[in-house]
Amino acid sequence: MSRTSVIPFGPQHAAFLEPFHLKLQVEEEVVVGAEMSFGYNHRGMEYAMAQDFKRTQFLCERVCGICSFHHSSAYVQTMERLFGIEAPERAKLVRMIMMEAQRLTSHLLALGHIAETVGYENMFMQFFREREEVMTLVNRISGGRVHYSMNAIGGIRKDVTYEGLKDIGETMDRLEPRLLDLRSIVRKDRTLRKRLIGVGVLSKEAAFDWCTVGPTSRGSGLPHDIRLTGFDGYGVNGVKFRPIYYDEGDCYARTMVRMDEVIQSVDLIRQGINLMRDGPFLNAVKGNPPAADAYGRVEAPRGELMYWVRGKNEVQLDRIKLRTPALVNVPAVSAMIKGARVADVGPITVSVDPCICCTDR
Amino acid sequence: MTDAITGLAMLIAVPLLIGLLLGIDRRLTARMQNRVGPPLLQPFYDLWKLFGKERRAVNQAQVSFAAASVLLQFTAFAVFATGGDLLVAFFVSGAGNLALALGAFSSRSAYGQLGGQRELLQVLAYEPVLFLVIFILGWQNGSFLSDAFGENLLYLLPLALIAMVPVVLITMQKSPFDIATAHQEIVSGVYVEYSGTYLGLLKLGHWFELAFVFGIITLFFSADDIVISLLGKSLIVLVFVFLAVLIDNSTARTTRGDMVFKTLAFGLGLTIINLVLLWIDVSGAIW
Amino acid sequence: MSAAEIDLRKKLERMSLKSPRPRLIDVIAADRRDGTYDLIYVFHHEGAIVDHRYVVNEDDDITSIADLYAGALCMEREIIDMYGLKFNGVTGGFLLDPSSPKNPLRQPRKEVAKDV
Repeated sequence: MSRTSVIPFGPQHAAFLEPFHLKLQVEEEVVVGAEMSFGYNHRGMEYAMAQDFKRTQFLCERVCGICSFHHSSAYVQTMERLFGIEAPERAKLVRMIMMEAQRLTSHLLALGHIAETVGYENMFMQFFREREEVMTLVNRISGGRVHYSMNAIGGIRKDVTYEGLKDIGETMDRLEPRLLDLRSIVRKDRTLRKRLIGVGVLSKEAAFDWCTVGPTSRGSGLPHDIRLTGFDGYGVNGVKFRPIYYDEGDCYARTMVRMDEVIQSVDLIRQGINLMRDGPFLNAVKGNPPAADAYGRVEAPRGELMYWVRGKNEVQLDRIKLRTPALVNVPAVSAMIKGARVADVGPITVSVDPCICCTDR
Repeated sequence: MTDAITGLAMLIAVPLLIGLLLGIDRRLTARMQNRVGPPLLQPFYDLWKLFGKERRAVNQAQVSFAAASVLLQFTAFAVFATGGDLLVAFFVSGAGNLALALGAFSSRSAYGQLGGQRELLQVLAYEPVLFLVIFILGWQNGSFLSDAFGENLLYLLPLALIAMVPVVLITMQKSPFDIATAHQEIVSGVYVEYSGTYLGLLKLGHWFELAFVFGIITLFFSADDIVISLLGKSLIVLVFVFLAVLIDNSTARTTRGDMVFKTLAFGLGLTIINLVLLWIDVSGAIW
Repeated sequence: MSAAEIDLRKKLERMSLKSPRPRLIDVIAADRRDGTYDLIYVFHHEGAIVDHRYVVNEDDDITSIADLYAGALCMEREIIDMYGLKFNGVTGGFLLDPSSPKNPLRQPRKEVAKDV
């Protein structure tokens, strides 16, 4: 005899940072079915962002607090395509450096979050201590911990000084050994491995079917990474980059993808600093966006972030559409969760790094 | 007469010491995580604040169970403190845990139900170990009365003392085994439907439960000189708290099955080995 | 199913069978301000964006592609919420609930659109 009971997970739950609702059907602490609902955080961003293309470059940062710079980079990149101009190389490198810095903050948050969900409070604190180092660094560089507001259509608003670059380099030197330490802990810790390995498996085919992106798909053996093709900054002469992927498809694989990408980000930031040359940093644009459309993609911490903009020769935009990575990653949770234990629901949902601000917009 | 006064002094002093111990625990945890941590007396402030809050309950049964839980835990500790039978104290404390689980079941919350089930599972995991440890203590001592312990048993029962580690971890709700109150999974489980004064009652009950468990640990050491005896007992307790914090900070939470299996295998295994060694010793084979 | 819809379905099916299989990025809807809507299926194929554009009417029954790509379901549900278009076998309520404004992203018709 088995009896199904319903457990509501969220919208407010200790394991979730943001509100979304999971209705779990449970038999003896085993999940047999799950229903998700969203929309608790819907703010009508796509409408608001179509009102004034110049203000949108600041508004788009407010879509999400942990990938704000990726949003604004994707937006300005799209607008540059629409206007048919190219940002100077120095601006692209600054964007790349700041994007990688934000990837550090975001991934360290996600890693800390997953440690916290499996009850590993100490590791959570370690990750957040390192994250704080990056947060204060970006604050020194841009003047904001969360919203950097450095981008402008055609480049960056203000150049990064020589001292600023030196500061970034020194912080990375301080950070790298500590991150490597943390990686070896994540690799070796037995209790953590026991809780994450084999949990919430998403097969390669399912990952493709659910259109997943970012660490979620790379944890399932799909080496998609828009940094290879999408964003201009990584194409600037000589940035060496290779996507990191794991084949297992479980929570541990997704965690390890993030852990390795943290180290990789440090390396990419160093490469960016070494490639920096003096030069112009802004090709200003004039007039309103033409009545045409353009795509722009960047690799946000959670995966491919795509903007599609259609102008109409006015200050307003005809349509702006955001395809955020969380929109495809979070629904894929329902494919991972069947047959999991209630204790694993937290780690599974957190392992895709659900950003509900992005999903709901 | 003096016994009664000592008993009364213990009844008042030990719960206060437990509060202090929890304060030390929180400071220690914070230091291990590079934080400053709360004031040493924070557990008292917390309790004080909870008792000052509005009385709200989901239903009447819940209140009764909370009261039953705290009374039973207090009785268990009182039996222990006034020199009563350890086995009686053990069973009364077990009944207190049962009341806690029933209180969780009495609400209709899904998390309460899960927490109650997990609480029962925890009881299943650590009570056999605790029982065996008490049994072996009493057998060595020749009596189960807690005031009849005047002998140093540490060198006879070292493995049984180590077997108490998972028991302490479970009762202190520490990381690998804190499944009934797992905050990130079932939102504090058994406590989730309580608030204010009644939550304070349950916390107080938890203090008494800890007092009883740590009381058992102190029975392992005794000396003729009362000062050395007290120092030794406190040292053992502090070492246990330190170990619990250390393990808490270097592990993730395990799952239900794992907890039961590990606690039983580790605890019962060590105690039984200790028992066998003692039995061989009785027949004069080793030491 | 009208001829245009069969055509759409066939094209998308053919697209999804290509090797290596294209990855669906998004399904975008945009108001054309004359009662018709752009429906854009965006794919990532061999390192670049490939898109398929269709124009649909407000009351067309659009074929869902959730059976080709499970991830398309949420994108279609969002379009239902935002524009009130109809997809076969898909219900809205993804971001909005019954008490929310209806079809918030629909634009006024062209004649009254001069609102700068």
